[in-house]
Amino acid sequence: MTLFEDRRWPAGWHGCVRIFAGFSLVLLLSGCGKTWHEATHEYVQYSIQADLPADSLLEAYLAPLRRQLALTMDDTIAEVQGTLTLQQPESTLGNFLADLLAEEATRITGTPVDLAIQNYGGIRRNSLPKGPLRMGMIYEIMPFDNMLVVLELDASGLIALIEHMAKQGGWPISKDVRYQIREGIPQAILVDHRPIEEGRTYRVAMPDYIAKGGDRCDFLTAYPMTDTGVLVRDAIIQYCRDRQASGYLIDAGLDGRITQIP
Amino acid sequence: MKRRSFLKKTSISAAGMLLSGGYLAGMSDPERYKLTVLHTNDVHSRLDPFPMDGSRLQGLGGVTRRAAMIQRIRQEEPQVLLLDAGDMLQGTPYFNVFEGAPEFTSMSRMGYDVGILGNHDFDGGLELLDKQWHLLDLPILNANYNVQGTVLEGRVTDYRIIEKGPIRIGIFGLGIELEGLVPASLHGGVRYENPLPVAERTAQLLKKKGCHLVICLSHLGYEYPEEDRISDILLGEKTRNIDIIIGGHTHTFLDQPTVVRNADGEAVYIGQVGWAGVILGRMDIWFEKNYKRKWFTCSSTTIGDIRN
Repeated sequence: MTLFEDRRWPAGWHGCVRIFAGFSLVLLLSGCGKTWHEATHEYVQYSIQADLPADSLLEAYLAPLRRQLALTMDDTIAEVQGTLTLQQPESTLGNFLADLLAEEATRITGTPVDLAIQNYGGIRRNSLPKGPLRMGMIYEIMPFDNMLVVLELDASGLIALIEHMAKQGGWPISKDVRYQIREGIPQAILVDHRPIEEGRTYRVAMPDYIAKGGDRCDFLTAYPMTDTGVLVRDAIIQYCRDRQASGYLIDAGLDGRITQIP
Repeated sequence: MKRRSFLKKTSISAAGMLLSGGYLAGMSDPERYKLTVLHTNDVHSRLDPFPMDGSRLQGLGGVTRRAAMIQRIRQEEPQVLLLDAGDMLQGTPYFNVFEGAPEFTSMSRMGYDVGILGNHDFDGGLELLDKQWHLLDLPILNANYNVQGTVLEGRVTDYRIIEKGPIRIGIFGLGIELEGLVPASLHGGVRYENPLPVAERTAQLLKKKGCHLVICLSHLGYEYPEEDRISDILLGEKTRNIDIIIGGHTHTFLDQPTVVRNADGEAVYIGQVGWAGVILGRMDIWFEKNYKRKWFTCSSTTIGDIRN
């Protein structure tokens, strides 16, 4: 038994073990006055699920707000061909977002970007289900009012960014990049089929949150930044609407752009 | 988010009986007293249940069902404390469109006793908090945020002492490092202080003021791979006088509280219930009049089917 070495004890064992210690202390301190102490804990979790009754007063308050939201948020803006999911190091939802950010940043600025990234923690839905893509889902994926920006990174800045992303298990990145992660360290990095070149400037699209040092990216703040003037969320919405208008479905696959080496 | 299998219960009546038995025992004995602590964290503007779209948490959550559940528990229990560990805001269009008003209003209507600011509660900037603060009918506690000179001055305080019958409960809040997480333009002048000394000092003060129970509401996060990064586990281990930590930020689904030993070797209970309000956590604490804190026992149950 490793009760005393073990930092965390299963709660149930706790009482039995400590009764021995507690007993001697009670004897020692029995001269003091009695006061209130915790004696027993019981812990319960309630799953808040569909068959529970709803509070009618709160529902009466919320219903008009929900109806108002539905006017815009229930709009179908595109159609998803197969469910997209979010995972690390690479995922269909992550690839979809990073690729569209590269495309939109290129379109808006009129100059091609080399790549786009999106911080993993900044994607707030784990999946986009097959079927109609409603406006509200885009808000849930990207609730933040982050701007889409383009950062001009030198070779060392780009390497530092990829190292940072690899250490955190891989963030969504656009299709022209390939790398492997071994024990949290990136290797075999290729951008457009070539290793990162000294002396070259890379145009990297990303949310301004990251460019301004968010998610521990303070090493990026020194690089020149161009603001597209478009919210990341609006870029996603625009892309989806354009796909729909041209008769395409929303789809993304895996291509091994980031691989985890065991 | 860890995948866990939860103990399934087909009906909530079984636990209802169990708990009301304890309640009766608590009332009939002048040397026993029961307190019920309910907690949520990281609700993230999830006022409606997740839609039935095949996602992992589909159909779960929703503020009207949580309100009814809380109401029901209040009818059964003499003393209820309702707590939230931050990130009330951001995550659904409710926040983008109504700017926090429905979140704050519904928390006030449910009768939350105390809340704290998580990092995402700054997402609308201090202007949003300033504008909507009047809707918050509950104290907001962040002992390690220095808010002097901001619109939060006089609004965000360090701690609150709440009396429930003969029991004095001291509650204080801790917020996460804002640098690198929240753009300066949004938290405008709120200064983060090292939570460890603040926690040590505040918990000691609360015990000195005669609190029988000290609860820390924390948005620091449950645990991190980096050994020295402050978390609820480290906080529990390195301080004294905190009895319970109700945590948030890492969206950790703990099916029962984790127990660590503090710097004095005393037990600290750490709880966190995932996110989005899909679970309401409940800790029933029986107090007894004793000469010294007795080492207590803990049992745990999960009610309902949690698809995860």
